[in-house]
Amino acid sequence: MLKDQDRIFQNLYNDKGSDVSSSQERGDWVNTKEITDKGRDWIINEIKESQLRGRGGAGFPTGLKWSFAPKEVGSRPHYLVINGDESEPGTCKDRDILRFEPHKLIEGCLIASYAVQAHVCYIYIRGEYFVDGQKLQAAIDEAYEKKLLGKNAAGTGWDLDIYIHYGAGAYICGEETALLESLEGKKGQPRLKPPFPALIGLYGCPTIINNVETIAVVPTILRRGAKWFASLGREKNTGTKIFCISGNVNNPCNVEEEMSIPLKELIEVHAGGVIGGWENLQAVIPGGSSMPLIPKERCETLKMDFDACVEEKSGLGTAGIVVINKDQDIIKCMARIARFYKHESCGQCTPCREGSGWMWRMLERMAKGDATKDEVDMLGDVTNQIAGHTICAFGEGSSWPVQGLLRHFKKEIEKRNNLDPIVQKKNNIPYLVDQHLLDKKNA
Amino acid sequence: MLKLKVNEIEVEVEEGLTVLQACEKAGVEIPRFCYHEKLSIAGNCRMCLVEMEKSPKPIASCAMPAAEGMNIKTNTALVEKSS
Repeated sequence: MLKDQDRIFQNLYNDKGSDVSSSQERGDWVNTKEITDKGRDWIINEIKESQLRGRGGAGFPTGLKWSFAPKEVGSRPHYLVINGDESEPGTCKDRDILRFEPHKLIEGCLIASYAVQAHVCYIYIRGEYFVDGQKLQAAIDEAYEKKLLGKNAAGTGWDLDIYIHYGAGAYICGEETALLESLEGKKGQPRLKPPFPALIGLYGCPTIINNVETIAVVPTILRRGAKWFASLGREKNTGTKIFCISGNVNNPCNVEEEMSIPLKELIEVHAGGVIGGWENLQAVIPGGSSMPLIPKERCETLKMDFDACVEEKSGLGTAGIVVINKDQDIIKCMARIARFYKHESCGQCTPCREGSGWMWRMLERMAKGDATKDEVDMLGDVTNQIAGHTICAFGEGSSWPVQGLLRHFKKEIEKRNNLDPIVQKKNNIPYLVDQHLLDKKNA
Repeated sequence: MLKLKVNEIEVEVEEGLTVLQACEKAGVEIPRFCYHEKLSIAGNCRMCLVEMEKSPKPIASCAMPAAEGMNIKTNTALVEKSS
């Protein structure tokens, strides 16, 4: 259990007020100048030593990402972009930061902008968070009034302007290069990498993109020291994390906890337990809908951090924990997730555009028991054709939940679907052969 | 000039060319739909995926700039399955 004094987001439930003066009482904006006076290299080094990993889902080390920004500002300015798109189903941590802890985010923006030498910072917020965005705008206006932003922000000698941009509701705009396209006013489709955004990003200029939570924890790390942050959790999975627990639990909640906390403790203590008791648990999706599910027997001992989840062939992702109990039809749940991904595929590259719909149609049939025996393997084949063969990580995101279902609940699908296949005999036809030619004898 | 290997054949190409063009030079044809030398690179048909050493995923050869010391394979089972 995390001690109260180690909590970074003291006002996660808005019982202490989110305006600038109550934020200052909690320690924000107190000695920002002292931090920036220690220099860019010190800040980046301190973040590297704290082993902070990006909170947006991929878990990329933040200090390393910042060090990719060019050391000298050339002819093109640098930009800092904050990713507040948060469209992952089951995740709602950024929203509480935007509306209840906006000054942590704004101060983080200032320090991060100073570290990567950006004078302009864009905060991209999903369109559905309009009210929360307005609260953030109010906090930004307040910061301008108190001279914490603008020219010579907070007395640090660094000029910074922050602009909010609202998304229009596309899931894919949470992907960093699609977010840049959307910010530029084009349609949100991911860019080809390389070149990486750290060198050629927004408007062709070097751009650093970070999640809201990543930036919001930066000031506290620098204030309390990298050693303190690294002492929480375990090696390479340090610090605290906001877990969003939803689904079949008695008390769905957002809670800040130490990394590597056992999943069982998280559900039993903070979320009031599974509906119908722990024995009624069927599976847990540990990190937002794009991660493979984990069945009950593995959940007993699972520790919630990046590496432990990867060992279970899943991932921590955004830490949006979705609990599924035995009252739910697991195949139907996954069919619904597949439908979401079919809807949100941007349609740029072929495997994802065609495959996500294919997976959905197959799963719908499997949920009803209308599929044939051979389709189970075919579904696995389709997921493997998508994952890793697309421009962005959406391909993995859409196929991993289905792969997780096939890995752990294959028997369930096979039990329900025992129709005989239309083609009985397997001809072992190789790939890249025109099938119609095989009908002709002399082809 | 950059030196790289395509299916164990060594080729030299000028800088700024793509992996796909380097493969053409080595006499290896890569199937493609969306790539055309007179159009900008779209990289979205994923037909031209090839295997590159040290990369866990197959790469789109039409969009990847050729670099010194690359080791490209276009005839492995992974490539045939993925495209």
